[in-house]
Amino acid sequence: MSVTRREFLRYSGLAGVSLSLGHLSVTDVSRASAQGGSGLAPPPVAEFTSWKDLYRERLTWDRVVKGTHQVNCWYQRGCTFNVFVKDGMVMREEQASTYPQTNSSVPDFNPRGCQKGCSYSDRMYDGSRLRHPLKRVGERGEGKWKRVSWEEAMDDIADHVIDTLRKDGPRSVYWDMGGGMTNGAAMVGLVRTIRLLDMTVLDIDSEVGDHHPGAAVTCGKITFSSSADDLFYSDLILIWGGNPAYTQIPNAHFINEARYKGAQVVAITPDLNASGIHADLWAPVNVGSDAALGLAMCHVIVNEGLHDTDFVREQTDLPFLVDPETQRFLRGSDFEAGGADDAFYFFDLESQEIREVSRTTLELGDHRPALEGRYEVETLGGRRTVTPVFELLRAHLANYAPEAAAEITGTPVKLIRSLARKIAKARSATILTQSNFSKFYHGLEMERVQFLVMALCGQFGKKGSGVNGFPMIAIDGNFPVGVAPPPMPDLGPFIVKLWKGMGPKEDETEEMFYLRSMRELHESGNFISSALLFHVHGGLAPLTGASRRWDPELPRDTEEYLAEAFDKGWQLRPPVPKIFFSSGGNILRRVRGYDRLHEGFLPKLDLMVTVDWHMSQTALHSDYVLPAAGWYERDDIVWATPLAPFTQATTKAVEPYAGSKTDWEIHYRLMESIQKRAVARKQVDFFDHAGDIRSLENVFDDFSYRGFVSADDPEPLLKASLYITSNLGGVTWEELKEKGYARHTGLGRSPMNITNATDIEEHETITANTWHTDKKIVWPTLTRRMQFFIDQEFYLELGEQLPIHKDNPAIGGDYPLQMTGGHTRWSIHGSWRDHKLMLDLQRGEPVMYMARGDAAARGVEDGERVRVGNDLGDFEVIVKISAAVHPGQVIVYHAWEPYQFPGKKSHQVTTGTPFNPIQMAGGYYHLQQFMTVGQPGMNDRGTRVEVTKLGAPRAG
Amino acid sequence: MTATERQLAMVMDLNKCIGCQTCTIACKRLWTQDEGMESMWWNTVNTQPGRGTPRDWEELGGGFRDGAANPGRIPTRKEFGQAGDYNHQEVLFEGKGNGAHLQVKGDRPDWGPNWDEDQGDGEFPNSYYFYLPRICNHCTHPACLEACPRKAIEKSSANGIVTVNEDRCRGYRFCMEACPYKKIYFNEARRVAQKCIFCFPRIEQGIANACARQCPGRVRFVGYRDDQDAPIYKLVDKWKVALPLHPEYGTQPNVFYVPPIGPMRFDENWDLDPTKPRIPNEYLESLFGPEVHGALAVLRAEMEKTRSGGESELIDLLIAYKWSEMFGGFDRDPATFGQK
Amino acid sequence: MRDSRGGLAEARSGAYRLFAEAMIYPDAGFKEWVQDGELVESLLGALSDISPALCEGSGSWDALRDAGVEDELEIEYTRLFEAGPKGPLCPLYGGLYGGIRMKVMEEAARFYNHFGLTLSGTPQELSDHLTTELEFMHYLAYREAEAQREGVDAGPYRRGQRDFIERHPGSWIPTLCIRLDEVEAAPFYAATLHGLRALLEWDSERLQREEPRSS
Repeated sequence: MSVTRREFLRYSGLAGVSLSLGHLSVTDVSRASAQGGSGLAPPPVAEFTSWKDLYRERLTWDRVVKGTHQVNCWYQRGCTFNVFVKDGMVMREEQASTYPQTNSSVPDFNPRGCQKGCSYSDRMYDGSRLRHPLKRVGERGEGKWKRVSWEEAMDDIADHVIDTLRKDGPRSVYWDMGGGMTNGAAMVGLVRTIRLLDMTVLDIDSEVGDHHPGAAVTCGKITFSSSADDLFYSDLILIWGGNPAYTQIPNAHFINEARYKGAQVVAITPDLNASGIHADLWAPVNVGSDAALGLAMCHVIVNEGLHDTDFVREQTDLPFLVDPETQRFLRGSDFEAGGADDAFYFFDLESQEIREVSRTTLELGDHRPALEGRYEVETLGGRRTVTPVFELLRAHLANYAPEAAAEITGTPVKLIRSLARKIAKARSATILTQSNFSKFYHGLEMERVQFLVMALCGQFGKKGSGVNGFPMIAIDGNFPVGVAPPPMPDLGPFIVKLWKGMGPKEDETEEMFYLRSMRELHESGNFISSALLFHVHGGLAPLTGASRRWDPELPRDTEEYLAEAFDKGWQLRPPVPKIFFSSGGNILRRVRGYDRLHEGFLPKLDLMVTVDWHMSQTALHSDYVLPAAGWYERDDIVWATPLAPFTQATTKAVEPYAGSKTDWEIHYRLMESIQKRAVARKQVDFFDHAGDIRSLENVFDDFSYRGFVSADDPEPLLKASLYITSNLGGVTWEELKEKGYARHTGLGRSPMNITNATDIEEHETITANTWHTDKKIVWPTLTRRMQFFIDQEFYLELGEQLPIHKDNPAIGGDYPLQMTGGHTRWSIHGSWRDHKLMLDLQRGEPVMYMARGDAAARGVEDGERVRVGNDLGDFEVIVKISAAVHPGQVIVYHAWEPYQFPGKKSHQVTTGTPFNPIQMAGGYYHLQQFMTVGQPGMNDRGTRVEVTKLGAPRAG
Repeated sequence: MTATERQLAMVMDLNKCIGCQTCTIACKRLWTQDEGMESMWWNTVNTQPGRGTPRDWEELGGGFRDGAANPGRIPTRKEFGQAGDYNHQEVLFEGKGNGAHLQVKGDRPDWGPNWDEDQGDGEFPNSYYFYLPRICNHCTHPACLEACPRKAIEKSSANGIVTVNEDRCRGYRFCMEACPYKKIYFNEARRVAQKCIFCFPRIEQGIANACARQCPGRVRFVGYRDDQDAPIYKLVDKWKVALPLHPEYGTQPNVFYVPPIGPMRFDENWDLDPTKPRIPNEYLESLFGPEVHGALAVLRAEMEKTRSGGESELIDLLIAYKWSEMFGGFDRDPATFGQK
Repeated sequence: MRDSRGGLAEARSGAYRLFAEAMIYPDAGFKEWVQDGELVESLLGALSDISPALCEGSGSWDALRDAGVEDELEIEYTRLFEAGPKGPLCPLYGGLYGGIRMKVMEEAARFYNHFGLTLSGTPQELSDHLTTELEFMHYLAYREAEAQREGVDAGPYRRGQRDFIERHPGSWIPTLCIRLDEVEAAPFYAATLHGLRALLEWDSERLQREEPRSS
């Protein structure tokens, strides 16, 4: 407080009082002075002509801008809203609903946006919004804070960062971007920070359980999907491994409309869930037995000769020759020393000889690969008998006759047969799956089987067919902006230079080139699996490493598999964490077994910084909490998925709340402080991971493109990103802001997009993977085919070279109930989970769905609070009883905050989440860890628990 | 009976409602976040079978029987489901450690606007449920209007919208007794009755109701009953697949429902049983009256046509290829109106 | 001691200004100002010109010259007003004390707009924040004093203050004070806000009496 200010405030009876305003300013002089204001009426407290005007008044506003919500709703994402602003506040929002109809034979995309988005403006003024940076006083988690200025906070954080860069190395600084990733300013901020300082970004995909391991090992990629309106061309839609009524709210109408148009909709789930109620057929399946179900279908398909032999011959590895004794593919290296390890063979029925399969095209020409037979061949190791994979598959499928499978799945035999035949005979069948199976211990196999069923029936590439992976599409101009060196205006030449000399090698497809670029980038180690981080350095090993405890069939301990994977470079070893930035994530809620992180992870950190808009569980335990600007308080570009292929803009409707800042500005200020402090301390050098010296002297100048972009105006970044984007039809930032969205016109130059492997036409729905099925371009796998036989050593050791069913281990102990979950309609992860409007439409607190018989047997009534537990822990929850729940199943939908449970123990204290070592496999071309794939995942589905009445002794 | 020139109506397709409650929130955010409206949800979506909102409303009487007013009672606050006031501060900041967790302050509520979500009825594997969205039905023969001694309830002759004149209302609440659908609420702070206004400020400007326009399931059609070119007339009067809820209440509601067809059920041998629907016909009849059988038959027949590759006007209507055509001409963009 | 009506309005303007200032985040400069006694002296001076009754309880006023040791006051401010997992214990936003927050914010903004003011400042504070509301009272009282000095009708400003106190700070500050007591707020803040509450009560009663509503 300056001297003049103090004088200003001083009151003495003699001198007059001065007018001193800080939060208000005079803008309408005619109303401001006494003389001008004579005759001013008193303020209109309640002056209306009639009660009707009160209601009409709700429809007035000052301006409307486009906005959306930067949450990770993934499959259902993409919703442009009109945001109505009045008196400097956001009054409400409403879906803009101007999306196009792709063509006249499919329904249009309107409206997009759910109940959560329609209430964001209620959340943004929540009393819990953080106003200013806070610094911890007292112990971590104690809840004692004091406010600091942004500069103080950033300077102190910068000092810590500099210390860690110089002492422990830059990789010890971790960033968890959680769901906060955008495709615009926030992303550029993060990318530049990471790259300039060579730090670590957490790859959370497998920790969350979205890594689609089965898709990855079968197709060599996971990010592919058709558009939601492509469903309209299906005549058979199988909802299997997902709950679109809950988690694809704006897409679900396409399913219901397709049903009207004549598609048969089949839901395959343990419980009759919200997606099943509008199906034509619901097939119950025991928790975790879906692989058995699928294999039984394959059994029927193959035995009745219903498989699409043309498709199988052309697109899959099923004709490839294998030695049944060694269980290995016949390879070039079998014929000559130093021969190609990735040359494979088939028996050509036309020329009656063994030939090498083409590595460059799926086109068979005059060849006709055999699916059956035994063939003699001379190898280096002598004379061997080889046979197509298909023969091994047929023998393998003998174990899955519907009668035997029905014992495992609980699905009626007739229904299994009927489903199998339906899929085979369908003109165009789709499996609509989401990320549910990725969260099972044997999820890799469950997903492989889904692909096998559909591949046997040729259900890929046709309009309205396929199995969707993890959908994503984005503008391709954002990443180059993120990595461009200053000065920004030289983007053109930079882009040319970036892509020059880069391109597919000989016999490598475009897709494989991008995937290779990603793998090579990944090898530099900036992306680290969060599941592995928490296993190695977070104290979770007693859970994630306890696989053999629950799965006694496992030949070796998890740690052995992991050590092998680390040594062979199949998985990257997580560096020791020293600083953790949580920016859009919430690990102390999200991570299964989160309670162990308190003792096992936090104490290792010199510094923990959270950027958030409210005091999340993770923020509560941080050293600094930095308030983030809300979604209507910033300009940014948000990525999309092919399901709704529209990239969106969110625009600044109002100023950031109190002292909050956008993510872009937060990165900006941090880098500014780092440079300033490094220079002041005369400690500008540090060694990067490769041992090269880097300097901090100009790191901020580089970050800000030498002043081309300022802290509070990231528009140059957004303009530049769109300027060089090749796959959004040349739309500019001005146009995107105005309309709120633009439809993608192609896949562009991006590893995440390219794997959709299809062309995008303006008036066509998007059908994934047509490059393979129509253009005969090879799949990005070792065999260059959809690969169902995997002879990697872990697979052989575990007997999983062919897709197989394995019982879900009794994770948690020998208890009779299997706890499943899913994403709820009521939140996007933690966002909205504790929002009053949402809670009022539920029961106000966490609930668990339970089957009638199971509840009755335990004397439990609807609404009763019970204890749910196993060998790992227990929690308390309210029960809802429903006949829709499968006997033996209990359901707790995800993302309840721990503090919503008594004792602050969420259901995630019981989830054992052991790693499945098969997911660590690498060194096998497409079986190799890189961003989002190839890493062991955390899983919780089918955890075993028992339910007891409160007050009753705990069972077991 | 109140004579009107025209009558606005809504059709809700129960084969498309996914229970997301976006309509509920849309209405809440727009109209019922003022003083005294904390517990009001003019639009509700309930899982059926279920006790609904207010709880057991179907047993609370009202409406007409044999042409005369049928006695009814006002639902209690608990039956409506008092909005919870949560104890966030106690849990997270008062240092009670793990001794306090987030819950509703005071008496734990035992009902809410969506209490029995996704529970339903039946026996596994033949359990069944569907979602039933409800608003005020803007009845042609409104029991509420007849019950009010102050004539504070009005029915517009131009469009049939029924409203409570909040300036005339003195809070007697006879309307709440009389409404058999229990869709009238009481504002304790202002001491007036309030209810769904059919978004008249939007309708006046050619904009469809928020609940209809914001529904991502594309469940709701809006329009004049007599507009023969628009979907409402075709679904209600031409094809007769859209039916009123509880027609026996005698108020002639103007909100209609296309009845739901669930997945096939299983017989005792776990064979698919096409002879009986999963959602019992008797149950649907108890909701929509005996006409429901005819409606279902028509719907199934038309779905069979398209299943075999044929064309169907009805199915095309229900698919609503162009979303804006669901609103009977009320397709103006709300962003184009209202700037001060 | 002032005996002109202009003097009363001026004293009130000064008092509201001082209360607003007392509620800013207590940085080093602020604490020095407090320790030097300038806050308490100016505030007591203004209050005694308004009504001597408001200065009673001098014991508790002493708390207004005690800025505590080290960063005690900053921590207390944050504990009370700034942060907590579900929001602060005693937020300084009027809209969080009953009613619908956005309605409260909207109405406050309309009051400001009506008198030719808009929200400003960097960072911008919301319309229902205590310091914004107190600044508005400071402003209206200032204009009232000015009007009286110039012989122009001060009625609009008085009626504006009457309604604004009743619907805004007068309605939620008492609840805030109850909460402060429940969480055992440090004497500095307890005394400041109780003092503010007393002023608002006094002022409201006087304004209702002198500017009765017509209907």
